[in-house]
Amino acid sequence: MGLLKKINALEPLWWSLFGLGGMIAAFILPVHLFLHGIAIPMGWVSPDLLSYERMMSVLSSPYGIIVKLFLFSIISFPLFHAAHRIRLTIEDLRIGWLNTIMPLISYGGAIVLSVITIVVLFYKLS
Amino acid sequence: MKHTDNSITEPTKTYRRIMPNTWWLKKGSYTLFMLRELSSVFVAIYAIFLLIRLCALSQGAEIYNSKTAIFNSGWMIALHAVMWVFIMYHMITWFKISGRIFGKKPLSPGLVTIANYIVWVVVSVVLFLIITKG
Repeated sequence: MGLLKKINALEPLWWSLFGLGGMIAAFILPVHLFLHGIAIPMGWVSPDLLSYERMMSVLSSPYGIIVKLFLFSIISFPLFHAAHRIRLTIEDLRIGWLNTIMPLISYGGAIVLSVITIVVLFYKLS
Repeated sequence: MKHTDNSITEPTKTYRRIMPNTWWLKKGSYTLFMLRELSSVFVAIYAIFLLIRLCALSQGAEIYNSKTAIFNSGWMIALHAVMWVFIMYHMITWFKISGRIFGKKPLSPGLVTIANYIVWVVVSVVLFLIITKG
């Protein structure tokens, strides 16, 4: 139970990441999802924008590092936002057994996925 | 009753209201609250989708193209449309709350919310142009 206490002691950190992720999700994700999930697949704008060749050339260009940092920000911080919110909602729903392990699952999951994002963006795609 | 077991540690027998975990269906505003919370699930799914695309990209053209074909399918576009509605709802509630948190003199909560929308429009247009023309 020591680990869970430590996780709960970091509440200000989780709350800050929740806020940052919520900001990014509110300002950036609507247009990003609309383009990548709807407009490009529907062919409303050029489907070549997401082609393998173009993606690789963008990521290996001089400003590729900026694109990678941008992609990291819109993946990692929204995950921490969701982790915090889902954890608090599970508490509100009063599912006892899940409450106690939820901090570990949610924040742990966001950390693991963020590390994978860093590995993919900055090692595998470099 | 189980609560009577605690009578030694609890000086008074407190009345505990039984709260079923469907409490959020009882009132419209509670249900909207729960939909707002649910929006974060779609935020997480979208982030994971982006990560899946990047993983595929790192594994070469063949795997990336087969994953892209899945993302271009009709049901996937439909799922993204649902996710987009929830993310828009997240945006609307977030800007409303920003107004309540930062709306202190000389700014009113309404003005802060409007400022958020103006920045949102600018960010959206700039990002749209960078992604499509850049």
